This record gives sequence, structure tokens and C-alpha cells, in this order.
Amino acid sequence: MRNYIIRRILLIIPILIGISFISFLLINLNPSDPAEVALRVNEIVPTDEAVTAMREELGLDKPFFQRYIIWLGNSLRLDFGNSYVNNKPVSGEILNALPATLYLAAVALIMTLGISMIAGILCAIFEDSIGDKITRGIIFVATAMPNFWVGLLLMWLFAVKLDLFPTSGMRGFTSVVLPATTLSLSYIAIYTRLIRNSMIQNKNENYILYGRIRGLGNWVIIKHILKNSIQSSITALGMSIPKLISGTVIVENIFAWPGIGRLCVSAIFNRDYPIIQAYIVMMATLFVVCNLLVDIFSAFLDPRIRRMT
Amino acid sequence: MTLLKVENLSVTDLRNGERILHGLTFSLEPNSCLAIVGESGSGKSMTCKALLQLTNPWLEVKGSVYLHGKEIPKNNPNEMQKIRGKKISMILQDAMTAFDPLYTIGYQIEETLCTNLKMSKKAAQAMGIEAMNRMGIYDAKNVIKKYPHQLSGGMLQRCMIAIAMAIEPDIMIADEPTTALDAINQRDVVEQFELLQRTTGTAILFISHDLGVVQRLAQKVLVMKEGSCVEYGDANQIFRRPQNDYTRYLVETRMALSQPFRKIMDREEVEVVNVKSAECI
Amino acid sequence: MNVWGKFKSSKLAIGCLILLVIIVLLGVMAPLVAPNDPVETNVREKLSGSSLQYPFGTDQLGRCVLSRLLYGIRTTVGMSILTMIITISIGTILGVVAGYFRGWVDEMVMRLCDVMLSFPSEVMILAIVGMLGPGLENIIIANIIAKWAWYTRMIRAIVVQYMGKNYIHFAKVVGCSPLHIMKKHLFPGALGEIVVLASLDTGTVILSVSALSFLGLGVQAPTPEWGMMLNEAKNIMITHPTKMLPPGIAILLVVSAFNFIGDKVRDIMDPKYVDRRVKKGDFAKSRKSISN
Repeated sequence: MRNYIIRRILLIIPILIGISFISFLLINLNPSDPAEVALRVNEIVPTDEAVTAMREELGLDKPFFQRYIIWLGNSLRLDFGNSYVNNKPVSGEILNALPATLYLAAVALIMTLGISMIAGILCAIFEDSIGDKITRGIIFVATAMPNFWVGLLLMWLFAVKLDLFPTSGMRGFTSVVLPATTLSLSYIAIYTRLIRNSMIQNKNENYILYGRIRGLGNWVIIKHILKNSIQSSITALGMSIPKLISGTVIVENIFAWPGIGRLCVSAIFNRDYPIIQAYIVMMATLFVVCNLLVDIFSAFLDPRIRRMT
Repeated sequence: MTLLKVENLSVTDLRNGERILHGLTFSLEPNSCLAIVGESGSGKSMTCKALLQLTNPWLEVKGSVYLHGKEIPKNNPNEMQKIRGKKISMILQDAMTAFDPLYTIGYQIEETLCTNLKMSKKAAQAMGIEAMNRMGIYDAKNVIKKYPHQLSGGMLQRCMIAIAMAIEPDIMIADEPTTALDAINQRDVVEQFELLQRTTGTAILFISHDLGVVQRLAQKVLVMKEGSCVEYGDANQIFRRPQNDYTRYLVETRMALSQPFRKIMDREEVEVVNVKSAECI
Repeated sequence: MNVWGKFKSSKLAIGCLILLVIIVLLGVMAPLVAPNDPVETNVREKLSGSSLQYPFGTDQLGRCVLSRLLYGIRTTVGMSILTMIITISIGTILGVVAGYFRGWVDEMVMRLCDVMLSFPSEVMILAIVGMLGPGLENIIIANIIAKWAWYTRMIRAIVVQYMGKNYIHFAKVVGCSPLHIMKKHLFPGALGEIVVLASLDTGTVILSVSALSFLGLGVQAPTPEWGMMLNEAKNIMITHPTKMLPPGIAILLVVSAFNFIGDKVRDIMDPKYVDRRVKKGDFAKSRKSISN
């Protein structure tokens, strides 16, 4: 088991380096000159001397790889420079906006896992029943619906027409209901289908047949199926965490939720590259690390891998 | 009284109307062994699954099954579940996939014994270890801590038989238990069944396509072909004087395979020493 | 091949295919079919309900909603299909090159794919749009960059598999060019998988393009695009909520159709599809279904 963990950690190091490199590459590919943009945004006329001075200040006159190494070193210390818009440190801006997103993602996560597990299990137990067929139909439609449309419809129905929830902002518990519902809808559909399919596949395995031959009761059989299904779904379920955190962009935009998604979108409009860059690196790293953790956890739970030396 | 009586058992696939089993009728007396033989695909396993009501939902099972003279109801899953394991037990052909890979063997044996015999976990564990000892698994205390993937097919097969023996069911169905094993293990398994019959008086329903094994264990034989019964009766009679063409074909094929071997053995004139199974596992 | 035959037997799948063909045709012939000019504003008639001249009513600038929907097919659906074609082409070229030449070329391409695939696609798309700025071309480029690695990997795997199998034949068969063998054997095998991935992905691309346009990062006004139309409808939600329906339903229909076709082809290609009646160890049934 320990060797497995070490091997996996070693494997992601080149990937993390690759991610950082590509992120850095992307930043430098943008067509506009960051020095000019920085000046313009701060309402300084971009004369030639000003631009040159700014380039020196931002360190843009150094060769590519040197800039990369400097940037990498800074990033590891969580120093992503200052925002072009208000000159405040990027890490500060992001840390300010992060809790809102984490709160939203957490509520959505609970909704997603809760509903999809219950629905998935019920659909598998009552396979091909009316409820199962209706649920499958709902899932199919839900994965084809654009989530911004869903958000708008929900907002109109519950906030405008019925006035049950606020339309925007983050105030109190009711304000998180609509955004979290919108965010979790497509994930609920995906994971319900995943759990249902996994359970149905396990239902037809030989050991379940033998379990029933041995006279085990229905609940015990379901317990066996469930444990195996969760075992095989845990990687996908675990990856829902980073997906939810990075998927808040649209929802935050519709409901004016003050999180990092909204920060990133306004940064794109304002050409605030340091923030965009920090967002990309953070999210990509989050994905890779989460993937690693979930894989290790899943391997730990599986006795076939755990006992491998 | 006949222990098990099956009348007109048939199975139809509701999705395309295909008949899988055609009106099987046979019976099983206490303390005897009935063998069901036939080629692969003749419906032998389907018969067992139909008996235990474990067929797929798209298969319709018709016919009556009488256990101890009482008919087993078809639409009472609770009743059937009580019968399974306790009164009628079954051993699967593929032992390696028969156990849940995420639980230890010991746990799964315990849960079976607790469900069927209503005893405490400790008692179940002790009983399980004792049954495994009787099957020739001598370090049972270590084996029960292992997961299925850590044990060999032969060992898992023996665990399955051990569970069945511990429960002492009225009927034991063995679905091709020797097919996946080598000759030495095959003989072991056959001896276990003989032991089982001698000690507990369990009636055995032995499914196989290996006539050599069948001939040693069974008193009665049911020959199946493509879902129907082609011959049914006393084992010796069927082997020596098969009425049906197909039975004759099966027997003769088998003879053709084993006769050359016997000829060689006779010519050698070496006494084949009866090597008792070594106690190393 | 058999796949098409089985596909044909599902009425719903054929229905979806016909629907998509109709939609594409409508988009292509939009100038002929649309009742009005999609960008012509008519402020006096703004926000009207359905009428003879404006079958779906008008939006907040008095533009005909139906015409905008029809022209929007070109933007939303057309650009998505274009994106998919380019992505698949790049994926095919790189996949074939990597699979055919192996060695360090293969290694490099695969490592690059690994890194690209570990970036979540939404993040990657946002990154590229962020770098290049808003605009329709930029979203297309972003989607291509985010998705090419999937196809490269898949096609390379198929190429490697067939290279392994047919290498001996290459040596033996004189005069039979590798290209011919590729066409005869690689393509049918690869085609099925590409169809599945492509149809499911097209749905995703449509959602992505419309989502980015919704945020204002995609098409710029007054180009008609379904996501953009939803963004405009959002502003008048309180007074005219029904304006949110046409573009949303349009997206829903098209993506559903693509998803359904993709699911159906995937189900058909799954070897378990034919053998659904076969259970483990039950030979009789499998023999019968093979002879069918």
C-alpha cells in the first residue's frame, strides 16, 4: 500500500509541473501587452517610457524560462502578484472570494450526494419500474438542459413569482438554496445514473447470486451490492468536489454570488491577467490533488489493493 | 416420503417466447443422489436456478416443486428465502467469484450461519472453523481472516462445501463442482460429497457432464438435452443399457475417452497405489 | 455495418437524427425560411406576443424571436459542429502520427495529452477565453484546445491496436498499401467510437458555447445566438418571463437529440447489447442468439 501511494505521488509531480508550465505559457500567449494593460487600467497614459518602465517593474524584460522559474517560485509561496485592476495582491482577492464559493459548493455537494445516492439506490432496487423509468427520463432531460436556463427558471418561479427566496446575493440561509440547487442539478443527474448503473451491474454478479443461494435476506444483499457499488464509484464521487468548486462560474454570475467564479469572469472582462492565471493554476492543481487523494482512498478501501506489497 | 418432487418444470423467456426448459419431472429420495447430466447448454444450471426461484425477472417458471410433500409457493419470496440455504443448499461452479471480494471469508461464513441457524456470531465462527476442519482445511483460523482473492479456487470450493455441511440442509445441489478443478482436487471433492452423505444423510442433486464422477456418486440419473429430459431412471441401468440414442452417445463417448487410458493402465500391470490426499494445502 | 441496421430499428433514434438534419437545414436556409431580419430592430413592436408577422413575438429591441432562433442555429449549432470537426481532425492526425510512428513522437504526444487531460475542461476554456479575450472565434479555439486530447488518445489507441494486429500482414502482403488497410480496418472500428464521443461531445460544446455567450464572453451583439438571447431575456424576466422559453427549449432539444444518438450508438456498440439474453455459463441461449 505504501508503495502504491509513493508511486502515485511521484506520478503527479511531472503533471503538476506540466500544468504550471502550460498555465504560464497561456498567460504569455495573450495578444495584448500586460504592461500596457496595467498602465491603461490604472489610468496612466501608455507612453513608450511608461511602458518600458512598467515592463521592467513587472519583470517582463527577462527571458522566458527565467520568468517561468521566478513565477513558479512565487506561486509556490502563493504570491501571484497584484491585480491589474486595483493593485491588491491576487492571493488576497482570491482568499476573500473563496469562502463564498466553498460554502456554495459544500451545500451543493450535500444535496448532490444525498439525492443521487438515494435515487440511484432506489432505481436499482426497483429496476425497470415506473419510478425508475421516470427518473431515467428526468436524468436524460436534466443533462441536456443548460444550467443557466435552469437557474433563471428557478429564479423566476421561486424568487420572483412565489417570492420564497432572494434573487441574488449571499444573505442568510435562504439565499443559498436556489444557487445550490441550480449548481447541483446536473451533477445529481450524472451521479444518480452512475450509482444506479453500478448497482445494477453488481446485482448481476456471481457473489450476489451465491448470497441469495445462501439464504441471505434482502437487506443484507443490498448491503453487499451497495458496498461494492460505492467502492467502484468512489473516484467519480470524490471528483465531484473539485468539479463543484470550479463549476460555480455560471451560478455565481446569475445569482450575483460573491465567489471566485464571479471574480474570474470579471477578471476576464477587465483583462486582469494575474487573477485569471491564479484561478487556473489553483483549479488545475485542486483537480490533480483531489484525484490523487480520491484514488489513494479508493485503493485503501479495496482489500485487493490494500494488501498489495 | 419423497423428499423433493418436481413436476412439469418449464421455463420460458418472456422477451422472445423461447422455451428454455420443457416440462421436467423428477424426484429425489432422502439420503440419495440424483445426477443431472448433459452437454453444456442443456439447461442443467437453469433447472437448479428455477428450483430455487433465482431466475432472471424476464424468465417465467411454470410447474410445481414439492418439498417434503408440500408445494413451494411461487409468489412468496420470504418463504423461498427461508428454504434457500437452510433446506436446500447449492454450490456454484465458479468458486472464485462466488464470494464478495470486499468481505473476509470468515465474515461471509458467519453471516450465512447466523442467518440460517440463528446462532450468535461466536458460535457461528466456531462452527465454521469446525466445518472447515472436517473439509481438510486445517489452519482455518487463518483462512477465515483472508479475503477471497487471497485463496485458491480449490480452497474456496471447499469453503462453500464446508458452509453447506455446517448447515446440514435436506438437499444439496452441486452445480458442476468438479469441472473447474484438476483430477486430484476432483477426487477430493467427490470424497467430500460421499462423506457428506454418510454423515448427514443429505440428499444430493449432482449436476455434471463428467460421467465418470457421476457414476461413482449417483443412484439415479436424469439425462438432459436442449432443455428436455431424454432419459430418467436408475444409474446402473442407464449406463449399461441406455434406452435413448442420445444417452447411448454420451456413454459411448465417455467410454471411448477412458478406454484407451484403461488399456494402458492394464498393460502396465502396476498396482495403482491409493494415495490418500496429502494434508498439505 | 450492423451498427447502422440496429440504429435504424430504434424509431426514437431515427427521429432524433431527422430532427437534427432538419435543424441544420433550417440553419443553412435561414435567409429563405426566417420571416424577418434577425438584427432589424423595431422598438415600437418590442416585447410583443406572437402574431402573424412575428410568430414567436419580439424581444426587447423589437427583433423577431423566431428569426433570431433560426439564424442562431448557424451560430450555436453550426459553430459547435465546426468545432467538433476541427477537434476530431486534429485528434485524428495526432493520434495516427503517434500510433503509427511510436517511439519518442508517441511518448511526447502522450505526455502532452496527459497534462492537457488533467486540466478540467471548463477551467481550460475559461483560461483560453481569458487570455484571448471574449469573442466567438476565441470560444471555438478554447473548446478545440480543451478537447483535442481525448480524441488523440482514443485514436492512437485504436491505431496501436491495429498496427499490432496487422503488422505481420504488412510484411506479407506486397503491394497492399498501409493506407488501404487503414481504410478497410481502422476506420470502421474507429468510426463507431468517434461517433459516440462526437455526438455526446457536440452536446457539451453547444452548452459551453451558449454558456459563455450567456456570460457575455462569446458572441457580441447583435449576432443572434441562443445563449446570448437567454442573457437578454434575463433582464426582462420580471415583466416578460416567457421570453426565456424559446432559446432554452431550442438548446434543450438539440442537445437532447445529440445525447440520445450518442447514447444509442454506445449501447449498440457495447458487446453486451446483443448478448443481453446470455447469462454466464448458459450456453444454450447464447447458441440460439448467435444463430439468430
